[in-house]
Amino acid sequence: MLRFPTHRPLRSIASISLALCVGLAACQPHGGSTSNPSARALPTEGQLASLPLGALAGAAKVLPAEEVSNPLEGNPQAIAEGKRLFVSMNCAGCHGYGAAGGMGPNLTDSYWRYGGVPSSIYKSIFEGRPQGMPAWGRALPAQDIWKIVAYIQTLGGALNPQQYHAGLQGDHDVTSTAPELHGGLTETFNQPRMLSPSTNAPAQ
Amino acid sequence: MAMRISTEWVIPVRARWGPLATLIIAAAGNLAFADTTSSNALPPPAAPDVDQQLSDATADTSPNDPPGEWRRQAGDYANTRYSTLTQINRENARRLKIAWTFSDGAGYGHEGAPLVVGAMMYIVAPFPNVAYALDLSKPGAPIKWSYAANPSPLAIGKACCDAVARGWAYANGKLIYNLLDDHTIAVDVHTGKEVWRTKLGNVENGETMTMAPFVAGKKVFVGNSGGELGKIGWIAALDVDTGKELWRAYSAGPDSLVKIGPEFKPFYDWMKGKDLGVSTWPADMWKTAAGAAWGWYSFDPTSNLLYYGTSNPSPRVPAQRPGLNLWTSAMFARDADTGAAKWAYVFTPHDEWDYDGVNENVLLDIKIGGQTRKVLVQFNRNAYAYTIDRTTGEVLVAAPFAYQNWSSGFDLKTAMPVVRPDKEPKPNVKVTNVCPPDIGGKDWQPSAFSPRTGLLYAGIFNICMDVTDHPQSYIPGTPYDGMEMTRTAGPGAHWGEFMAWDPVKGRKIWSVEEKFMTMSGALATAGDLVFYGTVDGWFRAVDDRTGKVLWSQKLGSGIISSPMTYLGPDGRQYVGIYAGVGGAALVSKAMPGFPPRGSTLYVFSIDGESPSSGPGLLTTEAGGAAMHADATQTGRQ
Amino acid sequence: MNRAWNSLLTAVTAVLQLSACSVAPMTYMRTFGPAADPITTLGWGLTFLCSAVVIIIGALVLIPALRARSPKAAISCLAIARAGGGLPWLYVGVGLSTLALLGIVVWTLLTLRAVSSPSQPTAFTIEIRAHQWWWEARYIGDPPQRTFITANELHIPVGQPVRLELIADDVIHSFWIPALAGKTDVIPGQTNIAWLEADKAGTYRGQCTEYCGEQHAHMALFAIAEPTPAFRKWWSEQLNRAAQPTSDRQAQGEYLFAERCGACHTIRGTGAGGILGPDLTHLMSRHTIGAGTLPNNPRSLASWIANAQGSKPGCRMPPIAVSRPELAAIAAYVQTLN
Repeated sequence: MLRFPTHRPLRSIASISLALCVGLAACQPHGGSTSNPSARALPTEGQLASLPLGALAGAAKVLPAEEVSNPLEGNPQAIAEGKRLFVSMNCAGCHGYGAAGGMGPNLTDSYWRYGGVPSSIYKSIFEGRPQGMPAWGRALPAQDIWKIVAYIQTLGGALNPQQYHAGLQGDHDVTSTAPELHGGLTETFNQPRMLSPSTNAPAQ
Repeated sequence: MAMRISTEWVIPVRARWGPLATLIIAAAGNLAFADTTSSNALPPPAAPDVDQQLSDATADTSPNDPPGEWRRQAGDYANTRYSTLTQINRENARRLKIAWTFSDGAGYGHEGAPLVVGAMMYIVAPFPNVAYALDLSKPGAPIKWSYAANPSPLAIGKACCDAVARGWAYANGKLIYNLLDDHTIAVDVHTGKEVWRTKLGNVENGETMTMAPFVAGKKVFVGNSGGELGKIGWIAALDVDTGKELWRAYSAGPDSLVKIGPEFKPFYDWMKGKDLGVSTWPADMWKTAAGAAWGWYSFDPTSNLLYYGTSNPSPRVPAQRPGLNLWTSAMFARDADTGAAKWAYVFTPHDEWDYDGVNENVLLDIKIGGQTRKVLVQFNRNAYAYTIDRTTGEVLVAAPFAYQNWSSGFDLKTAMPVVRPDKEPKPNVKVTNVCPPDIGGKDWQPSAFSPRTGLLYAGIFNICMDVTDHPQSYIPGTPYDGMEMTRTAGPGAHWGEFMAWDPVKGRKIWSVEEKFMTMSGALATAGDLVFYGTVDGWFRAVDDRTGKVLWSQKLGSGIISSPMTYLGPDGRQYVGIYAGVGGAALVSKAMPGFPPRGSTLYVFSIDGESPSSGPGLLTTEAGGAAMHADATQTGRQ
Repeated sequence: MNRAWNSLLTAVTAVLQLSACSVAPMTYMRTFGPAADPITTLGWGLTFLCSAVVIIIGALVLIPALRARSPKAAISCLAIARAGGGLPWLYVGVGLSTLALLGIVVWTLLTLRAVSSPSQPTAFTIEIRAHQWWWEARYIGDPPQRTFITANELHIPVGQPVRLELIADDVIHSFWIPALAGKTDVIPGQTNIAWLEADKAGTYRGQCTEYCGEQHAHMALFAIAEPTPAFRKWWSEQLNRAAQPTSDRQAQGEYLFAERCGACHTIRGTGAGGILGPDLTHLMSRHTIGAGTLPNNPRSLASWIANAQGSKPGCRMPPIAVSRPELAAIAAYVQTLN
């Protein structure tokens, strides 16, 4: 005759369930890593502050803007959050919902009054600009500003850090360069020499 | 001899049969203007018939400036923009040619018209608002003086709709105008030296001033812009001679700020009550209400009442501000001496589409039921043309003048529109084909009235929008807006139209369709001509009775300013118009053929004759006592 | 022996659940309002009914199975007689089951009707917008100037039904205050309607019950039911603009708040008008920070302001680079916001 199993398994089930409940109740979500995308460290504010708005005077050849790139560039999560910030921080109200301009200038074309490399765009957002662009440096943390820059970089008009000179010289789409720029007297002053990275590092 | 049509039976209110008639006629009106699925639901314009077009509307043209001068933007206090000059008329208009031109070098949109006082012409350019005095008595109309007031460039980025100056004013030997950065200044017209400068607001917070100051008597009235940046709207009266602020009235807030007191008697019950400028907003939201008074002002000297409108409410996302949102998208009648409100009317309560109430109120006298009524007519942004009793605020007529589908009708009893729920914007949802768009069936481009025909003439729009609302944070100095829009042409695919409107019957008489927007003001003359311009740069003269285009001239840029006319010192009549596209016309800048910017004033005469052209070596003389402009400021972008 | 064990277990369970309020605030087996009471009654009823069924069936199975048998008893050479009289068992069993099940269906439908809408008109509406990971609540007042926005903590009057309009800003959430009502999903682009009513004053805890991202577990909300006069007083106080600073440090904090925090947070009466994060005009009238993540006391507040990511990693509030004196000033100001 089939014997009903003893109450031992019943008790085991009960105690296991109890243990689970207690365990779950005591369970705290563990502090995980921040979801903010950050593959590389952010440039320091001092590093960016030393970047000039215009061309360097004299025969200076060291141009640190080339060294500073957007650490969040190309990061899909940063771009998506940058796009959200573009609307929620009212950027779209001045620059248009497609960033094609309105009260403020067009951010999708390659005309940049204050420079179109990521560090220049960052500085424009951080510092504000005289014709009505507010200064966001105190209102937004650096990471958020870089996210907005990352979004702007997807719009087609921004330059790469390596194009800093091309931007200053108006060479967005160069198909050929005048011969005298390759050799002769003009070379020394027009084209920067490549120096080793250590000498390029700006003073903090 | 013109035959007058009896107008007794058409006016819905005060008809002998009272409410029943109101109901029947309102219903008929609703049916006539009811939105059908896709076609333009307006009745076709009446066939041109010279006799039948006359309406018996008339206007008081005080202060009756000398007929050969153009002393104020609107022509007169009533805003008729009408000139009694007849040298240029229906018969010779086709001989109009450019007589001389003047470029001020400023690239932003040119929205104001030059003023002529005596033999001098006064111009204020858009930012940086350099003022010029041209001596019309000398060949070449040379610059007698120019004055650069050096406004703050910060204002450029706070002006919602281009760094424009919509006009300037003349009073007591002073040229009075607004700088974009919230200063009103007065310059002595003889010397070009600044006489007074009054600060009205703080441009850092997003407030600018673009409107044309309005002079009446010893006061000049000014108002702010900033409805898209959450700045609370206001109107102020300054003393013409000293610039001292005499009073200021706000467009929202407690009655004390709105200057609503015991003399305030609105016609409709829903505008009666205490502190409606607070109670019709969520907690504390009246402080960022907008209601900027950036449009045109008119004045009735017999009642001493000043009429003006207020802009949209802020933010432009209605879900963030439940309530009727008084006193935005509205108009006020105020005592010009004290600023006390006498009555008000809200065109679009709880405005959800940015239908500002700032368009010009043309003061007319109309016969209704055998009685002459003092009315005003406004072509509102919401595409309704209102005829309102200007002594009481009672709405007599409300009839659509442009294609609209945001409302299914108008309840004349309460004077409230009936909103269509499917055309109400919602957060994060795209609502398609809402007509008219934010810039309306007509924007600020002013209409003109001709007493010869009794008709009003206006450039209007045929535009619709798809709109998605995004709830907005209020961050001072940034837009408090939230409307993402794509604008397209309305039914018929043309963006603009220039029309003649019967203010008594509330009906379009004729219209000229234009491919591009018609965003210029209108000028009516006793030569039976009406002048207007298009955004792609065509300047036209039109027969005021039939709408037949008698003459057209292509100019160097799009036209968004108002034409004016004057008698030169040489006894010739001239017509002047600025061509410099910008402003809200930029919503159509993607249209192929949209012109680049311009900064040129074109002055026309018959056969182009003037002392400034002809055989021989004509030269200019240098100016007299001149205030030399700072060369770095002139024409600075 | 088994019966004793079963009874003991049932008793222990009952005791645990009855005292669950203090131990487990999210219990749904004891409720305090007409939006949930019929469900609770149904729940308990079904529990007892099902327990009874289990006991009866269990007894019917166990008793014969455990009855001691003599090894020799059943074997006999006589023909096995069919045990007759089994049919009545079937009739009784099926009949009782059918009656019980039909009864449950009717009871369930009546319950659903009872909780679908309140028996009296709702006193007012609260628009609730769910964000990742906090609750925004806009109280709709009449006239409109009595409309205000708060976050994460609702006050409701005792004995009056309150209408809720639920919509989400980003992903699907679910609104659940178990002691007061069942769950209602909160969906972007769709407004769902629910209602609440509390019979008894007290604090009722709620939680988001649709997984909505990293900090779904820290998306609590609280409904505090108060007698009507106290509730009206609370509403009036919430309408006031923020308290003015009374010391230099608070004034500095107000300035710093508008500068550093105003792009995301609103404090009515100041220049801070951001809507990305919760409205903080009356923050100190709430019991928790971060939608139930931390208690609202000065220490937690300071730690939250300096680094919210440490307490609620992944939440939308970024770390703010503030110096210690700045943090002290902001915290001093924020603590005045009653």
